[in-house]
Amino acid sequence: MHIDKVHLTIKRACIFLVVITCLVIIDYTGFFQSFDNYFYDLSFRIRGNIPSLRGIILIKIDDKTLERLGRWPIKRSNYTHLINKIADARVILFDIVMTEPTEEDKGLGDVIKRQGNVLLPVLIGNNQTVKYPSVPHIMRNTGHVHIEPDVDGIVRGVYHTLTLNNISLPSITSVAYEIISGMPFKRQGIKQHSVRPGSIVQSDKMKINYVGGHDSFDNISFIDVIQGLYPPSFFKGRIVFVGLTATGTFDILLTPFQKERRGMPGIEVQANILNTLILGNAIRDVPAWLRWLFTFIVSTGFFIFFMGITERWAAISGLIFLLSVIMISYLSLTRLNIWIAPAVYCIGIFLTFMISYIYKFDDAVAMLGRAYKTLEPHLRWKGEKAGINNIREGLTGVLTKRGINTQIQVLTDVGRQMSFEKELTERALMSDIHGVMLFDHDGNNMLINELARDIFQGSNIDTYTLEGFIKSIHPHLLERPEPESVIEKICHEQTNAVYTLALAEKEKRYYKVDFSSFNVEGAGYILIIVTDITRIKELELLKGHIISVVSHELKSPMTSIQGFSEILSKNLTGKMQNFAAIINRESERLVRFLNTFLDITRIEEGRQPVRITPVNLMEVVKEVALALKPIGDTNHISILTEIPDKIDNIMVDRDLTKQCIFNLVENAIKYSPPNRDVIIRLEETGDYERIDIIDHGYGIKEEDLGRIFDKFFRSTSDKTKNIKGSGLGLTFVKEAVELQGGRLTLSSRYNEGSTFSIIFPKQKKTD
Amino acid sequence: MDTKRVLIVDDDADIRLLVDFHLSSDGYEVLEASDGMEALGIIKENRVDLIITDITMPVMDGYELIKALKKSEDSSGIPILVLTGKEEERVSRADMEYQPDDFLPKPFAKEELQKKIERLLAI
Repeated sequence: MHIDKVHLTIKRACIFLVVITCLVIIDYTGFFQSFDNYFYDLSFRIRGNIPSLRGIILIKIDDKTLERLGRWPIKRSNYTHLINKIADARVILFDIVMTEPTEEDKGLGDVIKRQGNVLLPVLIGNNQTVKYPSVPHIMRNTGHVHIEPDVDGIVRGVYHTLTLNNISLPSITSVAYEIISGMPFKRQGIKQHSVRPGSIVQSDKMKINYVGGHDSFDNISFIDVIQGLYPPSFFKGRIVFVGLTATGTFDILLTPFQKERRGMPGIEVQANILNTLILGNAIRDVPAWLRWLFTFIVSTGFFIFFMGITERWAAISGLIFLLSVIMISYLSLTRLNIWIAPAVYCIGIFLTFMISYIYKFDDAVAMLGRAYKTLEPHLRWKGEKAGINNIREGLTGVLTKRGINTQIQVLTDVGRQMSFEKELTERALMSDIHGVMLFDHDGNNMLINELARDIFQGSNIDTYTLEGFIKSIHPHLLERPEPESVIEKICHEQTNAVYTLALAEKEKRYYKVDFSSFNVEGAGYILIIVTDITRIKELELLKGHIISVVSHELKSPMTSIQGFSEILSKNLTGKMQNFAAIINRESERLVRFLNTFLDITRIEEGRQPVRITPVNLMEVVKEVALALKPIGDTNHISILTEIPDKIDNIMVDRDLTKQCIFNLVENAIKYSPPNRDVIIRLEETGDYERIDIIDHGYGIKEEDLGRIFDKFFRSTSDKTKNIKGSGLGLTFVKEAVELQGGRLTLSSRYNEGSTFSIIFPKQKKTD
Repeated sequence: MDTKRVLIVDDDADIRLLVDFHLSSDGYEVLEASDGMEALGIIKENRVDLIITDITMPVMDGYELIKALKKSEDSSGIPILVLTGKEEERVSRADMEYQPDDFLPKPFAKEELQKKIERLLAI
């Protein structure tokens, strides 16, 4: 059982770990990405705008500009004008592709050469070729403006390096960062072997820390600048982005903020990228291995925790953990710029809860299945039983259609069974054939029927507790056992006991009191069934009385027969004398039989007066040995006594005890072949005094040992069949010894001899 | 020494005959009565050294006889031996108001009777 439990626990722990491993693998494949992204975007929206760098300014080629300057694309000479107007700017980034050569390129190129801080984008063409701006003098100040949205179309990051045909293209913002900071942008570089010809490799990914949604940066209209609305000093030292925002001229990019406002043009995204670079607050990810390790630790911890608490607390604590994870991931993103993707923990904790719940459910259902199985043998009801053998243990026992149906049917069966049993029990208990009482293991009365109440109430018998009951019926028990021994026997040894109770109210009534104990689920109960046996007992007594009267009536004639045959046997001669002697001997035997029979009847009827006095058993044994010496001599048997030097007096009936020893020694002589010893050994041991009568005679067959004390029973064999006896002697001894509170035991081996022992307890209580 | 005179009280003539036979052969003089009343009459008119009586008898039973004898100064010194078939009477004699001097259960062997009589007369 215990080993099974350990196996089950190991098996479950393994299943749990496999599930969590699967979860981690699924997480690795990006399955929970959308869940994580949702929280990522939500965190940005909850956070709201943060202050942007004041130094960044956007110059937008908006609808107003195009109205003035004509349709897109506008002449590049406009850009030359612009650069001249904002010549004091720190860096000027154009988010405008200028790869197609035009006539104004030269003028623009000159300005750019003079400025030195103008950045133009490169274009990656359809055939995977890099197209540089057609503007001269720009070669080094270029960068890609490629923005790669995530699968859900939302732009969260940028790759600062693209590698194409061994040409490394930095992002335009990273080039701007190098110019502004005066330090090289640290690139991770790429592994050469991972570059396939004709493919673009993206690297140096950065997660953009958006300052907000659309229009989060200062922005002014292109045309306003050209028309000189802003003095050159306005742009001094600022980072200027130039790009398209006019309707229909560019793609709107979606950002984490897209839910509440419309998407933003590329120029704003680029501004956010540079803002992130300069502030150095790019969002960093927690390494995957750390996340997964944490998933294992947290899930395992919660699994152990969940198995030990109730589902309710598990649900509450699980929910608290879920909220905490989301809260922590929000705070970590917005305060520390570290992104803890919460999906794997949330799903992990949910799975852990489910698994522990399923295991608990499985345990409960298995217990239910076992409970049904233990019920099965007790179903006595003979109606249709709905296949209790088909009961399944565990989850299949309830989750399958067949499983749950079987359990329902069995439950119905059990219900019927209960009704049947209840009916049966009530009828049996409440019928007034027997008095019934039930005590629990503490000895308190749980049930008593009308009859038992009637029987005991009139006689002042305590029926409230078992101990009280036994103590109060004890004086009325014919068997006269010690109350303690009755309690010991019933409560502790759990054996059944039957006693005869004689209650005298108006008339004497006899009851059989049957004690039995039984166990249900470790709790003990004591059932007492009281049967009125007055009629039977009265018949028995009447029978005994009749026999007793007859026996007495026989005594007078027997006195004459014995007396006169004795006279005749002494006065006649020859054969006649022999015949008279036979009559005399047989009449003596008949009288002895009558006397023994009357003695037993007296004990059984409770009429035998017992006179308990202090008795020295040494004297009694000596007397018996002396009295039986003539018979021993006749049979060539020597009677030996083994007696201690000194022995305490013991409280017994002297006459009865003497007669018991006498009978046993006489028997020993009778059932021994000539020239053997009979030993009477008296011993004092601790709490007892013990008289052993040991012979080396014919012994008793093993199969007869159980019946040897029965009335009229005689164990016979070829050697003993001619020995005359009544079959009453041992019955008398046993009853007489027990009447005085002693015990008679016997050990015997056929053809080797017997030992009868009378054992009296020393501290005998006097009533 | 005079011949000892023994009174046998028993309603059963056979028992009287048996005891008479035993005692006569041992040299005792034997008187007989069939119940207590008759016995009291005999004792009044005769010297009696020992009374052997049954308990269950018509007219006047053994208990009453013993009581009457022990109460009277004249007869209280006469030893009484109870001869009865009722075992219980042996053990219940302690409850009797007036005690007999000895007791012999029926049926009896001659030796037992002899011993008891000798002992009672020797006192």
